[in-house]
Amino acid sequence: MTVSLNTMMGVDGLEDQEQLREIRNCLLKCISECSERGLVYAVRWAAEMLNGMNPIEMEHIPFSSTPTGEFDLDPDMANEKLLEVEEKNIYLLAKSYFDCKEFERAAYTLQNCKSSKSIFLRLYSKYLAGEKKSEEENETLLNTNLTLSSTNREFYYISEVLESLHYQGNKDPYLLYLSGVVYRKRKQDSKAIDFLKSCVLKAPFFWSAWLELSLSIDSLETLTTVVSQLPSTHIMTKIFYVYASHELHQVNSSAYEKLAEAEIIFPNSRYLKTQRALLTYDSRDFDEAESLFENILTNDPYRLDDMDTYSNVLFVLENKSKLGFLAQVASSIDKFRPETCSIIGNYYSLLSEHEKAVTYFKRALQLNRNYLSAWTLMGHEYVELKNTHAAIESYRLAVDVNRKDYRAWYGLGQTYEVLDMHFYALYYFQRATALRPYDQRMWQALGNCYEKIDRPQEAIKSYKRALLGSQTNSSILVRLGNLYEELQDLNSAASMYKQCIKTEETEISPETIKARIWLARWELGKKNYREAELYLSEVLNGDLELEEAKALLRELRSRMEHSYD
Amino acid sequence: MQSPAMSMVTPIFPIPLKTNSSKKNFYTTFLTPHKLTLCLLIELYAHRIIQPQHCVPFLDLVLGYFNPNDSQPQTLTRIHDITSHLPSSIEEYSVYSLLHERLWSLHSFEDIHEIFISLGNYIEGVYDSEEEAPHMLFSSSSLLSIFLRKCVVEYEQFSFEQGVQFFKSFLQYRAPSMDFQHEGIEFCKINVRHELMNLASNKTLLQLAFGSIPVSRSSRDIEQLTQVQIEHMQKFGCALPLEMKEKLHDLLEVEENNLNTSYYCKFLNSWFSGDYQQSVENLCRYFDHIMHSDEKVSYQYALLNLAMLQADFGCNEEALHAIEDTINTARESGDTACLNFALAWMFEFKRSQYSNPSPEKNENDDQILEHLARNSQKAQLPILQTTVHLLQVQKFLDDGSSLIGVFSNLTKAFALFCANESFDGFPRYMDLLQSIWYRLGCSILSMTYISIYQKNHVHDSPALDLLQSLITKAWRYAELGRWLDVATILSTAEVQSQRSFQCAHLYGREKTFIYLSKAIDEKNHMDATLYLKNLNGFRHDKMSTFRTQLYALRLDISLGNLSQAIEGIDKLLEEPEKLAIEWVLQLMFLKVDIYMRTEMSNRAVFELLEIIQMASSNYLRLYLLRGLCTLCLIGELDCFTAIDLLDSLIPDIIAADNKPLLALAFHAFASLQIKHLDLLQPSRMFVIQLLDSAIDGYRACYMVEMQKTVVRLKIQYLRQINDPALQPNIEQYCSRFYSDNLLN
Repeated sequence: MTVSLNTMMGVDGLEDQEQLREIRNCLLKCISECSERGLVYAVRWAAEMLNGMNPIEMEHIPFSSTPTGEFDLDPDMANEKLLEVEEKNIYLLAKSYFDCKEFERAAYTLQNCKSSKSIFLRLYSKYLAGEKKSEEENETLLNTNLTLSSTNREFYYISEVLESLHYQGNKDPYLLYLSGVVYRKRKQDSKAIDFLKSCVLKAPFFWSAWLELSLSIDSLETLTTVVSQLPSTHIMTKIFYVYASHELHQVNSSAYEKLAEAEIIFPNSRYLKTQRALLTYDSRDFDEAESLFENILTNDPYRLDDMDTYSNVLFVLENKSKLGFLAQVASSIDKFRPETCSIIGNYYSLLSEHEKAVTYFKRALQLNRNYLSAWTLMGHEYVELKNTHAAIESYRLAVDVNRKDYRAWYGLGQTYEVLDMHFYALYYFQRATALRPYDQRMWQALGNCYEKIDRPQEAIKSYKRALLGSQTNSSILVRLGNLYEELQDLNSAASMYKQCIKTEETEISPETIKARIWLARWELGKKNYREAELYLSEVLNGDLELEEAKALLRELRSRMEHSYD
Repeated sequence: MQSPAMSMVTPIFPIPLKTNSSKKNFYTTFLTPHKLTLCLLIELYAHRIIQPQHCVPFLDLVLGYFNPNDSQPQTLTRIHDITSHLPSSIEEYSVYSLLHERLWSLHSFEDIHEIFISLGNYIEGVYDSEEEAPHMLFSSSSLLSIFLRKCVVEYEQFSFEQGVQFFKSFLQYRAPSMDFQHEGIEFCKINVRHELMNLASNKTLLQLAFGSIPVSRSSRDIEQLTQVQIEHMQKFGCALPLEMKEKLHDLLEVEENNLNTSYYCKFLNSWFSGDYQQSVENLCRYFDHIMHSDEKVSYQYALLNLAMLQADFGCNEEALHAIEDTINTARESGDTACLNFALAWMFEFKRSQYSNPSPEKNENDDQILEHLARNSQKAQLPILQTTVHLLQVQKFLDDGSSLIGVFSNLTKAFALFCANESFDGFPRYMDLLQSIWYRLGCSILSMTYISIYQKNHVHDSPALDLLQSLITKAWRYAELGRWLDVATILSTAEVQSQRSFQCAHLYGREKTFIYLSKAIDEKNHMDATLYLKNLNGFRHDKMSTFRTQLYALRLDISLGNLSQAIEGIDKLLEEPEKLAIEWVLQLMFLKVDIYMRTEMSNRAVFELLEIIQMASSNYLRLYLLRGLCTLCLIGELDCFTAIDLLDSLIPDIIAADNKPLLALAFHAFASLQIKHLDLLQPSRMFVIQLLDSAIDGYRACYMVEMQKTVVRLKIQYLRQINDPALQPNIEQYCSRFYSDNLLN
């Protein structure tokens, strides 16, 4: 790929047709190169993006009778091309084996080839053969419920070859990508990031590299660092940022902004539309997410990618009919896709058929052991079935697959809470809060946990953090009031209870009644009879705690009478 | 329950269902949309919406599924027909209209799911609310509960895909009850909820969700239908009636259902249609499947079937091996019933193979029969018991040892039929009865038994037995010279012959024999040769092979190839153990005929004496009478002895109701009178009447040769007495037989 990332301009500069055409050309080139290398998902993504662009106006295409590009190659590139021509026949044979999924055979055929393209295909075939074998071994492991996972036995050979190539100065982006993949799989994330960064700088439209980069990043900080090292104005950096934010469940306005910028260039991109829906889901705007997903499904009825997230949305909205319809559609498209199994699992879960749901999540995992959401959802189902041990195992495996999944950490915390193992739960809630610092539920759970282990100060801090940047929650305020009361900080407690009453909208809730009774008693203690009476009269307008309120009112009256006396 | 006022769907019936044979089938074990609809009816019943006085038709519908012989069509039309006239407890609503509302309140898979989840609440013990149930609770052992449980259990085992298929087949099932004829997208739109309209407006999505609506079939229902077919085919020994076959064709043959019984059904079907290749193939498949499912109990029966199939195809050695295997397997698995049936079958088979077995074999057979008689009584198997009695009858007849044994066994068999009210072996019994009376020279009684059987057992007899009985009747009519009746009976038999391949062959063969016999008698040699050739096109058993040879010999004699005929007869008689007594007698009569033609009276008399001895010791009265009459005809006896003998035979001959025999008797009588004209001095009238009766008898049976002989005798007599009627008789002879060579 000759166009480097640094040469690409920002969104403003891309408005003219010239730059759009350059993106188009880059995408076309990427499609061609990835097709040659058997990188089908990268091809699919690039083709989708290509079709997401507005059609180019024909009058703006410059006409040239002489072909360009082929004659002004640098010597390394020319040498590479020469090798490719020499090895063309063998390469074609190996590629045909590769397409027939005979990876070992393809690798063997290419063993004496020297061009980067052939070397990539050889190593990639080796890698895929190794993955296939480890998958086969894992299949038995899944059945025996062992958590061990077999690793790819070809890594050692691949990394050795790649290292020697890099040492010789080979900077082929696809070989860099492969190095990144191997290092990531070997849990050497920083090295992987370095290789993948080099790769995307050389081949910015090669989406698989971005995906691997995202998988290597485990926190928002790392993401920020990585993004800062990439040209910020490039469209791919923006798309990557959006994707990585979703993967890290760290949705903020910046992600939306970058998405909007990408949508200017790719106004019809289904991928970007899906990203928008996913971001909306992450920010828990389920109605909007539902409408976006419905739109995506209507425009691309055979799409199964990310439809499992759509099923999650429908599950949360308890929309049985749509979820059933989606399950029917997915099942008739391909019932052996993990997404389909996950959708059906969600549907059964909504019908309270938890055992059947577990069966389908298990099926999804048999199809793809690394299918994260199935592990987590299966954990939820086990919780419903009161099988806490199985739930813990599922969540644990989900965390092992992807440590960024806050739902699995949160689920683990909840399960240990059910088992009254609050110290354990505390650790998992802390992990969940680290991943979702602005999610009220996480902090609330953490606060609850601290409360259970008699650490009120930390509980107060957690509850207060839960209220930060989120909608005010009366139950948290009541809890805070209780904690302050326990710590004898009655003024703070009163302030919390008062805030709680302020949050009240139309109907009186049990929390606010509790708050009112406490405040009435507190005001009574302070001999502020009028205020106390006011609180009590409000309680008496409702249906709850009437007896206590009446008793307090009687006490209040008698005190008032005594005070008049 | 949805309130009837909630939706205003008007039921419309009948709307013809558009049958689409290419529709995909969805197989379940028990549950079908029809049974779901019955569950909904039970739900209505539990809510006391069906009035108690109108419960019977509704309960009949459900109970039908517990009766294996009740195979009613599973359509909404049938439920409509039964329930549309039943008033419900809600005014102006029939039970059907409420059911209809309920059916059309179901829009999605989850609606069906909810129904099945709620069905348990109608069963006592499953209903777990502390409050009193707002509906009836059925006892857990009641048939309604069992039905509901069966449905719910199967539904719970459905995978998602199966559940969706079931839901779609339900849509298909209820579709004809609405006043619309929408197809494709429009049909789908009617079946989706309003909230799905946005998604459903996309044709592709709708097609994905609702495309390829299958027809639901319950494998238990199919098995039941297959079983009904098998029973039908086994009982009648023939293929299914065309109408029944057409109705079940889609269900059992087009679709690939892999039930063991369906292979068995296919095996029988192929067998009865004469496709032996396919029948062996299907029987082997049946073997494989039952071995796979470890149903070793059925294994010996499969072997028994193989033996029968091989025997039917003429592979006798293989059949014997198979039956020996059956006996061994049945012994190993301790299946005494199968063991005894196999032994009985082997006995019968061997008997048919060796018509006149050796003493050692006879002893062995006796042992088998004794064993069977003992065991069948011990094992309380009335069918086998009657079979053994009938086998013993056959054995007594073959041996000619005891007529008492014959009748006592027949009586025992009849008593068993009556006591057990099971008439499975009755055709065989009736056949034996008629053949015994025929043998004993009482054709009238024999015909009566045939008529009784045909009148009363047409609808429950095996096709082959019924056909055999018709053919026997045709033969009897032929002996009486009632050829119009023969033609009528044969046309009835032709209809029966279409029921199976075996029947078709039996009919074709016997018809050819009847007309071959007639052609030989008529001296129509061209036709006779043609018929003889035609016989090659039919399947033959041992007896029919012999008969073919016999008719070939008769044709030879008729053509004058006497030396060739006598050689043939002697060759056949060289192996008497392969021939039944009757067959030997028939061959000996041919010999007598030849000797008479060649005027070797002594030899003829010698043969006749032997015939008479054999026939009398084996109760073959017709042969005995014929032998005696022929003896008189040859004229080697003393005149008065012969006359006395004939006089004493005439009542028996008349009782035998056999035209050729009666004609022979008159012929012999007349011959004696003419021969001893001086001595006996009979009146002209008496002789002429005797001669005319003989001529009439032979003419009725188209026996041209004998007619000629008698007419010549008559002319000779008239010439002898110088009767004026001589000339007209000569002219009549010449015109009738196209011959003027009276002296020859």
